[in-house]
Amino acid sequence: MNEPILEVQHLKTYFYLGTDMTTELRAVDDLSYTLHKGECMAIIGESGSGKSVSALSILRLVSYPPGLIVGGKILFHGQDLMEMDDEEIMKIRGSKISMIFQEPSSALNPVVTVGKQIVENLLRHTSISKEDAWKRAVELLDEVGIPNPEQRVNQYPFEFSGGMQQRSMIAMAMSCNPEILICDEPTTALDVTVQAQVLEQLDKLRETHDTALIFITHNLGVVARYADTVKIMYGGKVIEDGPTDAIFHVPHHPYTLGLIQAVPRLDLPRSHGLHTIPGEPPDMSKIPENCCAFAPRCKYATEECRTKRPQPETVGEGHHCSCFHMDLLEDERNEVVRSHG
Amino acid sequence: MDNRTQNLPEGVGEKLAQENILTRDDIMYVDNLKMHFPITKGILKRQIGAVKAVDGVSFGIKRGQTLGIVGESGSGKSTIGNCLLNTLDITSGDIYYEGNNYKKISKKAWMRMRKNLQMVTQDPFASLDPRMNIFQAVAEGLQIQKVLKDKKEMEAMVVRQLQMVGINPDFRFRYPHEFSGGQRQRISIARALALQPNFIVCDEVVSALDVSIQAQIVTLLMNLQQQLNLTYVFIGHDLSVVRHISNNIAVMYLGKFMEMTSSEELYAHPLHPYTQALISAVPIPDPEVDRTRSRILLKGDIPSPIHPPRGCKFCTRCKYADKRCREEEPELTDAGGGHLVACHKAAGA
Repeated sequence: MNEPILEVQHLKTYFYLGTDMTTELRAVDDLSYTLHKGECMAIIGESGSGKSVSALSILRLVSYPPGLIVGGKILFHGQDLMEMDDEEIMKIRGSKISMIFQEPSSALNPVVTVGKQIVENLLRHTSISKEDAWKRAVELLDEVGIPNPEQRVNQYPFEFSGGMQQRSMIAMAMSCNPEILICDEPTTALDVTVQAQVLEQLDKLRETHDTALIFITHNLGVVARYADTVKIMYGGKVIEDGPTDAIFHVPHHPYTLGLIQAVPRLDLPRSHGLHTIPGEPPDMSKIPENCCAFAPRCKYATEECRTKRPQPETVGEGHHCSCFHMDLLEDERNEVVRSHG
Repeated sequence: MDNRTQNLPEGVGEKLAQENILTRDDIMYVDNLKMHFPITKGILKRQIGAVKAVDGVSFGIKRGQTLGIVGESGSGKSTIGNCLLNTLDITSGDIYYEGNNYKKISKKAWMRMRKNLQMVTQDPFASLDPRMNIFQAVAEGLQIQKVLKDKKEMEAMVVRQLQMVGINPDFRFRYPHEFSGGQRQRISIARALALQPNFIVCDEVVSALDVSIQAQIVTLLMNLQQQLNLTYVFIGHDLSVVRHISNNIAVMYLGKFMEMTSSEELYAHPLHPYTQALISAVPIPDPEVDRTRSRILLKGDIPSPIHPPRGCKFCTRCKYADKRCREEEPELTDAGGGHLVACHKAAGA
């Protein structure tokens, strides 16, 4: 493995809700990980599992009120981002660590040309001349596969299709050769064909620039091909993490197994059926502290799950899981692995 | 003459019956449907062009079955859904619902028939009125159609509908913002079911939902179909979801059907290069399988339906395209066993 560039230690981001701000919502609750150079790490979770907030916290984009990073360290090359002042963190945002969002049409400024939005970022973070910045903007659009970049650079976002908007977001995010690119559901709003294009594009960029990717999504299928490591989040906590192959082939948490089965498999016969995880994602403000957040939806849940919080245990090389009943899962897992051939 | 064709204009029913197109089981039959939206300019609204959203499609749907329509954004799949519910003034072609041609039907008869056809749309956050509680939302159709006069009866009906879709009826006086995306989609389904329709257009109903919730909604729709003998048109862009619920699938591109066959056959033997690309674009949640699969990446985007390419609509993105494809538009023809495909290169491919 390459050198580590980002270390997140015991990150806690809470939201304070209600008129008197007494309701505490633990959106990210004790999150730790290490990201290496050129690594692709996937964070998987349902809406409201805290996956996006964990990414926003890295760039300190959580605004107070209602959100507050209440604890933890975020070490970027050994420097704690939490202790930086506003000016220092602004130098890192968009140049060393950049981010692309789910909805490109709302992330782009509708009244500024696409080229100008890229140039803006270049001028802010690098010392190149205005003329060179425009040249670079054209190169960047070309690099992400936008046809006629010389004309496109002067067009407004509404003149672009959804896929092209997302690709210009990538161009913008890559403009300063960041070391880390955070992708928050980058393909959820796109067609499958365009999704495949965007994923290939991101993978190519990772190879050519050695950029580390943090890939946030709710669809396990999307990351199977590209991710090196996978983290599964539920109720603000990482409940299972490990190398991609281990997560897909020997999942230890009932939720992970459920997620894998919930993705419809095009390569298996239709009679294979669809599997569902019963219930809804939890209301984060109502999860008691001492319990497994997944217990209400889990068929293996016992009294222990409702009164104690499971701690991560090592179940394989670099593979951790927080569940009291991992051993009970073995039969079901073998069944699933067999049926998936 | 059976009762299916008795409402047709003279001659048409016999013709369709003769050609074996409109059978007793066909609830919906569409003949060469075209929907062009005019583009106008200036205060005189001079027409300078047309968006050919749907440009000549024909199909029939059997009662109790599901037709899946797959395609990218801009392919015209949602327009077909709207045409089937008679909400658009179609440019040409004929749509027969239970043997009644939409063009020939009186307003009064249509009002009576209207309740049998319903739609569930993509965004559960936009489709429910935020100022109506879910009891009002589900009961609205019942009130408009005046099917139930008694208030108690109506309440019982709404409770039944909510139970059927898995929403706790005690929550019926809550407002949409108090529900999650998946629950809202269930409420939209209850609203569509309230008038006891037999035909429902599901337009991208799961695209906005989490994967784990998608599976729940698709399973719910399949169960309801069995219980109530519903007919669905299921519109989507993700072949893996559409395949699950559909008996037949039509692959759509720039207003035309490129391929149409049973959902098993479509995956096992995709004949059209576009279908092959669509299938290869769907990720498979198994790293070993997905990494070794070859992926056909389509270049660029779907062309504008205002200026569609000459010849085969797909020729600009097709790696097999040659001179003939760029000049002559292929017809949808039977490649054997009812597997319809519109491609010059598909024969024997």
